[in-house]
Amino acid sequence: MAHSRKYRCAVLSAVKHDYVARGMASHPRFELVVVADDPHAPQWAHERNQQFADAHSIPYIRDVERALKEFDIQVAIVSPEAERHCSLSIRAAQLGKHIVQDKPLATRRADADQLVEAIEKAGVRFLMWNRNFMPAVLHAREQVAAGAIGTPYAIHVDFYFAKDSGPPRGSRQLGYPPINWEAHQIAAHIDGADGGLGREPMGELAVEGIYPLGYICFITGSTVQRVFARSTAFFHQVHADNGVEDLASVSLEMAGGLIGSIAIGRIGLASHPSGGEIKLHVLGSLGALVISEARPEVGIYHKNQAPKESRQRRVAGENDFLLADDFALALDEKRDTVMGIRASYAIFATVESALESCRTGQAVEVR
Amino acid sequence: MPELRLIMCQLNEAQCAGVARRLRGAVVEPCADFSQFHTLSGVRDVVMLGGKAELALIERMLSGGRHVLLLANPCPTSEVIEVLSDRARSEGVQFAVVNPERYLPSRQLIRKQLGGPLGEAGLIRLHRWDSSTSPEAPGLPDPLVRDLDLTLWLAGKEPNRVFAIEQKFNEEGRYLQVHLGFPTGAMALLDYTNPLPSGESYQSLSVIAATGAAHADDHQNMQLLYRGGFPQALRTEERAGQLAALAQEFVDALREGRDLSTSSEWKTVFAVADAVERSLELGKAIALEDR
Repeated sequence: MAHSRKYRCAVLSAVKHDYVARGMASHPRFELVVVADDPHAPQWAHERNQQFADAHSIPYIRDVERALKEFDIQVAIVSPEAERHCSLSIRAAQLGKHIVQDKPLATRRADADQLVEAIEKAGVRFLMWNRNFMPAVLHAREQVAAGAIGTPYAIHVDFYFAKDSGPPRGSRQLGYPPINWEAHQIAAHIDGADGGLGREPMGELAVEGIYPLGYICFITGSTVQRVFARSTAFFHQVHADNGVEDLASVSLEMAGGLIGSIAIGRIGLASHPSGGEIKLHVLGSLGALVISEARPEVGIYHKNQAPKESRQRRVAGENDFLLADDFALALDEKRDTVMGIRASYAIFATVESALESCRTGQAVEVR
Repeated sequence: MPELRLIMCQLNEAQCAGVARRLRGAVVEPCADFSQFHTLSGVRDVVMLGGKAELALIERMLSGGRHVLLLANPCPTSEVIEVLSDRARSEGVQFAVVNPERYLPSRQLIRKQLGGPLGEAGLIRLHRWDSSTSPEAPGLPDPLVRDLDLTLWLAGKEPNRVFAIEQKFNEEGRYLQVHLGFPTGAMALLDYTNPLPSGESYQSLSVIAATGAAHADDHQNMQLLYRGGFPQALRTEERAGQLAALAQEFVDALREGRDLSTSSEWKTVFAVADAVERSLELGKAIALEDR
């Protein structure tokens, strides 16, 4: 018989991606009951939080601990600026709340270490929001698990977001100051192009790398041991000005001799008519798989179509629902989630090593 | 300039006929036994060779005043290219080693767009599964060397960092991944594998460029055949005019008096290939000095 317990959720800052909270709310077993943030959060953050609370007809409390204690909360949904992810998740875990957190796991290794310790000490469940339940990714995993291609020996993921991020590289006139990262990200929220919201600049690999790396781990069950990576600020002035990448490629040496790679970038709106090419290649001892992550999709074309409107629309995507469903089952059965704290930490460590490889030009062991 | 004659050696009948139908500015003459090429009259001949480069024979062709177009399938060694290029220079004829992969319509289109609407290449991704190769010879697989050439041709620059990893499958083949870094920050990721079950091969090329992207992927060119059970995927081929396009460029260049030497480009390709082998051997990234 299906479990029926409904879990009460606090949204700990909705300033970055409110799709995490909305995704959880799409599941009948999760209920958003309060939005909370620290009183010293900047005014723009308070405004966004209030807006989200109003949209869901729930209160906004400027006191995280009070909200977690007084609203009978079981789950904290954490989506503030990137550098506050860990501290909010740790505070919630210390009060015994289960955590659903936005990417990235952390901006510093020490923070990530503390978060792992807090989660494990409290014995709470943790879910890093991800895309592993996209229909095509699930299909790939099922095929591999069923032995359709034998034992996998190589896997590659192309992961390109066809999005802009302000003016193109090379557009800053002599004498003009560099673009301020945080101000740019705050302004970019209006069209969802604020992938790396926070004071500290973060490149595309650091922010979005979790998705393709998540696919690889999910499909193969293997872990990354050593990486070699290249990166550059190729497209956008804001990335060039802040010394972070908008294009990267990573070679992965994995447990069991598996070889992987990813190519990732925020490569400009003009580069794809429907949001970006995302593709998986999986090679095995008996065959190979080529998977387009966007499928199933429907082509929609019409007069006066807006330039930014996708021509190919994804359908039958239940990623949000399935992530929330997995989390509910993890809570019921006291088991790990599809991307629990250790899996998230492993991806964080892989990205950190890849960025080190970009700096040094050498392969780096993942620690 | 009188019409040239293109003598096609070590190429099959269908290939010769395909070129003959399409080629402008030269007549095509197949030569079944290319060791007998000297019995063909006319010193203005162009010889197109589709097989393994036999040094002595090509030297005789060049000495006999023939221009030679050698398909890099298989790839000759850098030493052979060097010797034959020197001989061609001294004889006042043209010698070119050409990678047929450059002449696939999709590759030609992408190359034309680079520097134009697409802008400069930032990331080149080339993926090849080859299910038809024979047991491995020492060194890098030929298709991978051709793909290195294709990558450098598309990038329009030389890499300064090379990293490679591989997995070997006893006698049955190998998987190789090559990662290139360029001084401008651009990068390339190539992989090659050959232990798949026999049948169709697969290729995928993506070029992420400054103002757009291009994807030439066999995945996009598959048609479906339904005969019960799961459907079969059938590729619609783009190779019909490949050899003719290659021959046409050579013939046009000869008629226009353009230099066709490819030795310096291949020198770079072989330097990168050497770095790939060193990276595999040492397990680390190899820095290439600016050339």
